[in-house]
Amino acid sequence: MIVRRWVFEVNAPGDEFCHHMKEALQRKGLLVGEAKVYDFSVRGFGARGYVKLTHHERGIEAQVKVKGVFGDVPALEAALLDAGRHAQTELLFPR
Amino acid sequence: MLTCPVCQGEVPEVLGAPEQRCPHCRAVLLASGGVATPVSAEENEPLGPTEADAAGALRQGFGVWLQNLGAFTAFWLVPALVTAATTLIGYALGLGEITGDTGEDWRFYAVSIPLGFLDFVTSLFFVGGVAGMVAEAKDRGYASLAHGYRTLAQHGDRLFTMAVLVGGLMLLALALILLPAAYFTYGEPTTGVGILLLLFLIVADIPGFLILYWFLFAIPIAALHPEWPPGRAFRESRAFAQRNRTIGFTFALVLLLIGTAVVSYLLTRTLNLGLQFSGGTGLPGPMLEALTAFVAALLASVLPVLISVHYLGSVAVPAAPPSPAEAMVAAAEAPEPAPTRRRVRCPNCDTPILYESTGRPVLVTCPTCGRQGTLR
Repeated sequence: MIVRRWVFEVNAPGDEFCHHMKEALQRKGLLVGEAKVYDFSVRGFGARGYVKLTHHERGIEAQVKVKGVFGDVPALEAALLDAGRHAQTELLFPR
Repeated sequence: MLTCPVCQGEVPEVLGAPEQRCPHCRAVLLASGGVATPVSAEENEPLGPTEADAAGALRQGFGVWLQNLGAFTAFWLVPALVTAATTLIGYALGLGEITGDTGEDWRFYAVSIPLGFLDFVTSLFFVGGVAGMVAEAKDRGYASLAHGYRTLAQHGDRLFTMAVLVGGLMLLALALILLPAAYFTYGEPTTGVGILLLLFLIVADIPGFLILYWFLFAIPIAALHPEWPPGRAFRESRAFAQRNRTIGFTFALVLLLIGTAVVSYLLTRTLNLGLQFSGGTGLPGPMLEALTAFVAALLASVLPVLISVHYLGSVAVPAAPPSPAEAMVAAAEAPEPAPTRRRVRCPNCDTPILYESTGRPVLVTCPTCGRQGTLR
């Protein structure tokens, strides 16, 4: 299991960030679902990930936990970071 | 915000991430004290897309195929008809089976291999059209048919070259398998030689599978990136397969292909039995074989959809946002937002005050009592 804390430098509502992040994850074929403690869960590469988004003075902080004994945990971690970057780009430089 | 030393664009930071990435040119940067430097000054390789989940791609691909079943089936009619026609032509020339007689069988191979190659190349050619359908309009049903045909019309020569190259490679791989198979059919191998040949028969499958694994995505890539030469499409396909570890995905496709053949066989045999029980004589042998091949080919229309969805799912990164200079030009050319008329009541005399809002704060004066206030 790995736990990561990333702060995405962006000034935007958390729900919009969450929406863009989920969209990017679903496009990669990952299964996005509900979570009890975290904001949402994601399944893919044989691993499970949980994401909680909170406000941070520099932007939006994402607390990420990725689990999976036999799964490809680094792949899911990279996909989550990429999705966060996608959301950040969408909000900062809207097309 | 950092400044990208490559494109001079603004780079929003991700604190805690192992590296920073420019959203404009996707260059990889290291942030040290607010200054961004490329990872390698000599060769600043942009980061590629991350992996896509193969199981998720299969699920999504099936979803796309089922939602647009009519359109994909209609588009795949031509390759399916070619499959049925090649089967019928084979039978018409009396090439139904391998007899074990060398002279007869050479005639069989001389006709059936080119026919099979023609069938295979036609299917591979249409894979490019399916990629165009999936990329352009996967939710638009029959309207996406036009995208498929447009892709074939615009890049037909490139797609045909790619189809012939991939088909030729697969034929070479097949020759490796046929070599020991021919010795089993026409030679008289002793037990030791037989076991060795059997082992070779198993090992000879590996090159065919490797070619399929490496170049599975070559034709969709050629259709989606018409500016790339064929060599780059092959390289990109191999890189994609290795990056996404698509061995399991490829194996699943092979199993699906076998599954379509089995389902088609069962369906057509059941239909034939039904015809015989209802008093008829059933379909003649060649017609039944051609129908089986046709149904199997139609069902196999799911395969190019799965391949295209997997490739697009992994590389569908957002289009690079405009560079800072372009964004400034676009902002300068954008029309001013029209002012909105709003109403507020004066807290002193309760008179409704109309004001035009173009943003906050707004200075408002009551027309009755003259009281002024600022709306924030």
